Amino acid sequence: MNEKILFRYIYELSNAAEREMVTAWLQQSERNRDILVALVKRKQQLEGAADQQAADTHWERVQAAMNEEVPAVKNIRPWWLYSAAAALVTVSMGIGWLWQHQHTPAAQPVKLSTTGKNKQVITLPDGTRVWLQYNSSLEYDARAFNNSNRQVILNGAAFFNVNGSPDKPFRVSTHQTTVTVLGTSFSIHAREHEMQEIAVASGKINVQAAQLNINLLPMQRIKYDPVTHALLSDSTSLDRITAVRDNLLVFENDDLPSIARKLSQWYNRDVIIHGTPHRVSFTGSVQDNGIQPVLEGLSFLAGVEYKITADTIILSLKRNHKK
Amino acid sequence: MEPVSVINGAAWDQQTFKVLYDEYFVLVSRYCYSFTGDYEAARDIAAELFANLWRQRAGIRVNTSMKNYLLVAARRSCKKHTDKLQRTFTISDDHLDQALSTHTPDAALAGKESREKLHQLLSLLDPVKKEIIDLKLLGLTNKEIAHILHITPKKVEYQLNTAIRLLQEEIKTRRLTVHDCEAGLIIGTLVLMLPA
Repeated sequence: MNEKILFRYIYELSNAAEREMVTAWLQQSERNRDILVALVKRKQQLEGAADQQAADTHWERVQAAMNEEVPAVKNIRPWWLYSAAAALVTVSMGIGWLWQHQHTPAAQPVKLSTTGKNKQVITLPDGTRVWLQYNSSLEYDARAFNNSNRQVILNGAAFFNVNGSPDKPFRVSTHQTTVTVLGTSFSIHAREHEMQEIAVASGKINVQAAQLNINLLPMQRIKYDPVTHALLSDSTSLDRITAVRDNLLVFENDDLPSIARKLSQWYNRDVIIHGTPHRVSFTGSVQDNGIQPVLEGLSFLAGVEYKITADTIILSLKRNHKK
Repeated sequence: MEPVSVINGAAWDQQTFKVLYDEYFVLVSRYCYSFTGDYEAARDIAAELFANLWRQRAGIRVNTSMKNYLLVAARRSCKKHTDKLQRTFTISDDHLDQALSTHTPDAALAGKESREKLHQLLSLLDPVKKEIIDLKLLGLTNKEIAHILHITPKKVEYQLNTAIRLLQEEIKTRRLTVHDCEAGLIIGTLVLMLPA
């Protein structure tokens, strides 16, 4: 028996011909069956060592190690260096103060961005919390932000929980739209060359674009095409809106190419579809615990087979599902 | 070979590290279990490994793949751990069974004979083959296994094929009790029905 065929069988990856070979081999003798049983048992035994739950409980320990860490001081300088530095800072602050009162304040641009590997939770100076999805960026001018102008620029997807402040509206600009709010929570999906999606979890928001000025209430959602200015509004469920905050990846009537596009956006990897994409439509959400578990869940729920390499994901329909 | 991408540990923040941890903690723990034969110890070693990884991140540069790097590191710390263990006391098979049954009630329910068979069967193999089989069962490709053990993928394939052949031959000489046959048949048919 060839190892490739046997292990593919154990992983339930065999095609029909391979399955037949293994079945024949198993029927050959009792000992062949024993070998398979021993291997499968061993696999279960190994897998019993840890699951996602164990990972979560042990994370606390790792986190404790992360928190105990004191920022390393590379070499200890004599005390007078510190006081000299402190004096210098005081002087320059004074100069800065004078400068500030003579000229208009210079902009202090801040740009926070995520890659395909990480998400971020950002707390802005006014206490507003922003959950930034993969491959997204948030920009704002720190000085203006602190004064009166609560304005940020978003490229990508994010969930906002805006701290209420009646006299200071909070503005989110994307490529085509501007969302103005006072104190609410809402989500925005705004990537270049793509349909924008804005939905409200609580409060009221105002959305403006080239040919658009609309108020949205909780559970309401709009899809806006920045090119054709086509607008689609409907209502949606709360967990879909807060998906970014709750670390969920959401699919809604997505076929294989659409699933592939979402995956490639989230994880920044090329997604290749093998074979003819049959009609599948998948609706549901997956807890985002990393690429492997997500694909595992997807393969189970949507009947998609997957293979991960360093920078690509290969999706194909399960052979078993083909007639 | 896998494409070479340099991962710079100094650039990690808590967020990226959590992603890394989520992706690999389970795999690393399972691999550690392959050495320790003790669930608790395996998870401890894995958690400690990640904690150390964070502490020393400033000096870490990975120029293979993260998976390879972590598994090689896990292998090293497990070897260290088992060396220490062996110096103090040796684990009897009995002990191992106990550890198993306390952590997984399911395993305790599964008949003792099947567990025995499992031990006897795979323990017939030499440690290298056993390790390769474990890695394969953890879902690694031959290439990845080869990379970890510093051998060629061809050699991995050869070892696996030899292992299967040896098992087939070894069991020929083993006396099988009626009991063994029954259990084997039942589980065999169950497994057969799985992919259907």
